[in-house]
Amino acid sequence: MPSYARSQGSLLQRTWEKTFFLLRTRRMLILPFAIITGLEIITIAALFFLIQPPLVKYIAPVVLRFWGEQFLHYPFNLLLISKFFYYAQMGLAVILGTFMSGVTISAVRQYTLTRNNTFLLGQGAKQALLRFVHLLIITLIVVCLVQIIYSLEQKVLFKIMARERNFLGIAKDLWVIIGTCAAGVTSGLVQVLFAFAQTIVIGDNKNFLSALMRNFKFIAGNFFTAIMLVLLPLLVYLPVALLKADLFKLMNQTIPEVLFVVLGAGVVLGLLINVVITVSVTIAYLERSREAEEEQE
Amino acid sequence: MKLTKHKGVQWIVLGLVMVMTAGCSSQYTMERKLWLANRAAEKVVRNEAVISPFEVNRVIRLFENIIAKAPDSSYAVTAQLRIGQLYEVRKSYDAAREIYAALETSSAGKVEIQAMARFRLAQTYEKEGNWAQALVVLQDVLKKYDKTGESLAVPLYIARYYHKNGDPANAKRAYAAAIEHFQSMADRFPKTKAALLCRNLVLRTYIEQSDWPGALDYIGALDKQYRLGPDTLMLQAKIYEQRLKNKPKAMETYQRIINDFPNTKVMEVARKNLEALNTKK
Repeated sequence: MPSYARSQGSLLQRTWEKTFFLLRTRRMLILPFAIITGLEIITIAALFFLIQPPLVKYIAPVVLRFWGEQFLHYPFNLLLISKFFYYAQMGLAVILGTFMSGVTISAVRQYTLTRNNTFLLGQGAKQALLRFVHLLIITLIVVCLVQIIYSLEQKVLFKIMARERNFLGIAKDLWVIIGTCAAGVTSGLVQVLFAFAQTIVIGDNKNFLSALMRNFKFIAGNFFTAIMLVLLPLLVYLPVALLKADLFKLMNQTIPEVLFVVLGAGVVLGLLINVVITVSVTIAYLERSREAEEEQE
Repeated sequence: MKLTKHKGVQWIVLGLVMVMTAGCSSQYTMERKLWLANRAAEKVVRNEAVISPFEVNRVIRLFENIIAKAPDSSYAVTAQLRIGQLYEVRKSYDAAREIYAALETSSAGKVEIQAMARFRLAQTYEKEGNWAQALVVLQDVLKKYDKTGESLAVPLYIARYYHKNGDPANAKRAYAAAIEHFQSMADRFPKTKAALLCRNLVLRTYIEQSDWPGALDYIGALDKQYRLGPDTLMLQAKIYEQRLKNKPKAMETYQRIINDFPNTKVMEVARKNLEALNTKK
């Protein structure tokens, strides 16, 4: 056990050192995810226009049907931005996010394996495009599992909120925080379980099924590292998730436009988290693979 | 300091801010102003006893600003009603009445707004302790704006006033008058939503007086005339069970809900209540 801890600790330290060195010295690595961030910001701006005249007339029937008249007026109409942005962000994350992850993984791999430590994003894009279907299937599996967790959380929270008395003597507001944290950590753990699958698809040129098998095997031997590399950065997002959980209350207590700050913070944090996780996971996998090769030799 | 190195970033941020600001339609700006002013007004009304006149005046100015920017809009109407309310907080009842009277005059043709203004005007007299005058104005709302939602609130408002002020004889008379008014309105506009609302108000009037036999008689009469819905039946069952302690009648009504409205949420509640009654000794 001490040797396991030592080996995991050492891997973690090397991975983080290399990750932050790489992100400091090769800023182009951020570009793929920065493009997504740019698109997300444009989406927020576009949604802001959409909820106002003259464009609002096109979405008014849908808004009236699903949310009611008050959502056509300030400040409830701002909440629509949050709701619509959630779906837009999901679409971007699944399609473009998968592709950009592939590009970044390929770039990190090129950097690590080439003698003069260089990478070409174009070559990364080509490789990501070739393996896109396998990458996408893995993303969809993770997204589905995370969605199941969040819908379960919503159902449980709904039941707790519907009770006349506080469940287990804990205030309802506190249950929202507990629910958000629990769902956040659980979905983080799900992402930990699939952390290396896309790296394997790109790096080892495997199909999604073989990649998943190899991923689980790798996780079994490096669970601590995986937790630290994936769950820890994801926890940074928790404050934003908590603010989003009761956004309307926050809007009432401050000013409704605080929504843009929360969404913006989410977008920027999302960029940082995605970059750090993707780069560090790839480096950790390549480090372990190199060690394994050295041991065999 | 580092940002100065990245002029591109500066331009992007500036561009986004300009686009977002330009994107603020006048509707957005006015609704925002009104929402912020309303929030400030609610705070004033909540802390009526301790709020400073300076703060009240500051909030009044917020609404005056809205009226000045969009004088003929629905925002201006809301702002005027709010200013009246704030004058009431300041106990400047004459000023409040002036606002309400002006709103009634300027809203010719918009009977709902006129009725609301007149109702508020009556309330200023009530707050001043001049109930006789308030009653005159309330009767005015009933007569002049009889087809408005506001007028439907008047009969119960009067009855509640007497009830609240410990005058049971007048309260009873006012409740009876309210029932008569709602019933006549329901008869005047049969087969409309207003008729349905009026019948609900009749029932509510009986319930407010704790006149359970009266409420049950009315429900019975409605049942003969129309087929009762599950909610009214549930109300009937609860009156039997909780108010009159008539277990057999309550069970009979729950059973009817179960039979007549299967696969509904109300049926589920009825089933549970029936089971509970069955297990009770």
